[in-house]
Amino acid sequence: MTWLRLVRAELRKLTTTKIPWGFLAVLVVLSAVTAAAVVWGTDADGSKGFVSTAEDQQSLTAFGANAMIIAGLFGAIAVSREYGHGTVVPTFLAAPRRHRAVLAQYTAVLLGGALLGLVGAALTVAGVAAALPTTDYGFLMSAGAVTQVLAASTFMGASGAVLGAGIGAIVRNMGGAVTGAVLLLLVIPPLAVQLAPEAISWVPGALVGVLSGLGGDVAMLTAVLVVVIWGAVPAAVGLVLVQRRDVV
Amino acid sequence: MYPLNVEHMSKNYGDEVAVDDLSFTVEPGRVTGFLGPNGAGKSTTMKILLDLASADRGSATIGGTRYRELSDPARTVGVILEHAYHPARSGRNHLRILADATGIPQSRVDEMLELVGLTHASDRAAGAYSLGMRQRLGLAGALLGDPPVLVLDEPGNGLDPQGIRELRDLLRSRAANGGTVFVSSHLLAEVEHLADEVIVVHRGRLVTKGVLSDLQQTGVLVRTPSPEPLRRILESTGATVQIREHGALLVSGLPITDIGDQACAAGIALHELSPESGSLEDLFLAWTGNNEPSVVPIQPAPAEREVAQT
Repeated sequence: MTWLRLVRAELRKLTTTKIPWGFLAVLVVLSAVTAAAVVWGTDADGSKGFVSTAEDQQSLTAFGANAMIIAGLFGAIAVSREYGHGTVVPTFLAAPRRHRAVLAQYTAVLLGGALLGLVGAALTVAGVAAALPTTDYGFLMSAGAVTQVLAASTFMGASGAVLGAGIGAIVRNMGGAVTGAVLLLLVIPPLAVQLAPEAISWVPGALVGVLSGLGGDVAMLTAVLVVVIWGAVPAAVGLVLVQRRDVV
Repeated sequence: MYPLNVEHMSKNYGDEVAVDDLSFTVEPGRVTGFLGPNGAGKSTTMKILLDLASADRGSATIGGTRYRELSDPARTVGVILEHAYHPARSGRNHLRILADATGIPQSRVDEMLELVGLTHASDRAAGAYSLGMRQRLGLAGALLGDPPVLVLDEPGNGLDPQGIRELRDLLRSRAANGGTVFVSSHLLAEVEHLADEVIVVHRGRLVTKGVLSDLQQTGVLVRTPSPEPLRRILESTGATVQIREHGALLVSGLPITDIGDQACAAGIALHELSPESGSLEDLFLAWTGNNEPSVVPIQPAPAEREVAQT
């Protein structure tokens, strides 16, 4: 199968440079920061109230929003660097019907983003669990809650990576793609909420809450669909543009 | 057999004309050089041929089929276009990715590394390679699928003399086995040794094409004790005759055999009858309109300068 061969090639591309290790290092640092917050952080009243209930701990370990941002940057870098280094040329020579190559690229990046999300959430849960003995509270999250946090983060990572890959395919310049991903995930959502408060239910931060079991204004299925749309729209625009533009 | 066929191809980038109504055929079984100054449209032509860019008008086919319609492009066409590698990725992994994408067995990777002499550096990051090593890596990638067609943009850049000889031998042997070899190059001396035919473009337009030895032939040099009568006879047949030093004649516009026959019929003895060739560099400069001699003005001697100042 031509397409599966292309996916294998894209996965090898991702695993034969240092980029995954860089992102893994970021995840380790973030989980260490969360663990440090559990050890040394307090609420305004000096208590450890922020880890006192299972819901608090679930909220603290809900890594989905971070997963989407980190995976978004991962996707943007992974795809835009292909254009920067010219390695997209042999890819398009191997698959001159470019949609196959681009879909293979998105698939590989999706898998990478999902893995980053899963590992990020797992490290965060592990960090919090390791830090809790320094407090008066034990690890209170149920297995179901942990699973939901991990699944939500994995899903957000996958969607974020595809979003970033789409921006990378649109912009084709690493600096521009990273800037685009940051704008779309960090700057535009709060701005949109400022301009139209009803948009708050549809921004990634709110959707992560729904997916992680922390509640929200929309149903689970709706949240899943909207998160998919967040990733799919830039990816679809990128797919169309790649097929129309010359490779220069 | 896969001839490359470009027909009335045109391509503009904004107001800039990259390729202008270009038509030519690259035949299998020979090495065809693609020459032109920087910005002449060579790379754009190759990219359109490989469906990496779209033509505004016209078409480009490989064996009568557009590149994107080929059933197995990687096993049909080997390409070097530009340095396309990730600097942190090893040469071996670069080739393994190409093999993955094209379904070529991984065993070919080591074979190609061996062929281009890169085995010793195969696990080193490609960014640490010299220009010549990067060219070898590109060549290994182009040959990975053992394709009958090679489209190579400046493959000799950065190669040492041994590398250039190996490249020349390799390309000539592939052409001799019926392959189609299409090579753009700025290294005119190299093309002179390598190519059977050349296609020359300038400002996107075809300047000339043909068998290199024919194009290089500027005329026939004739030495005779009776230059004036022979000149009159040859000019009467429509040939152009220039008088060279010591009474030699440079004849163009008449086959060498006809010149000999004409002299024989008139009873004129010939002391020399030989084809006269020009250097590819001179021809290239003439074809591309840059044939003004690059002469540095001679500085007058100090005494002359003083005279000039007074």
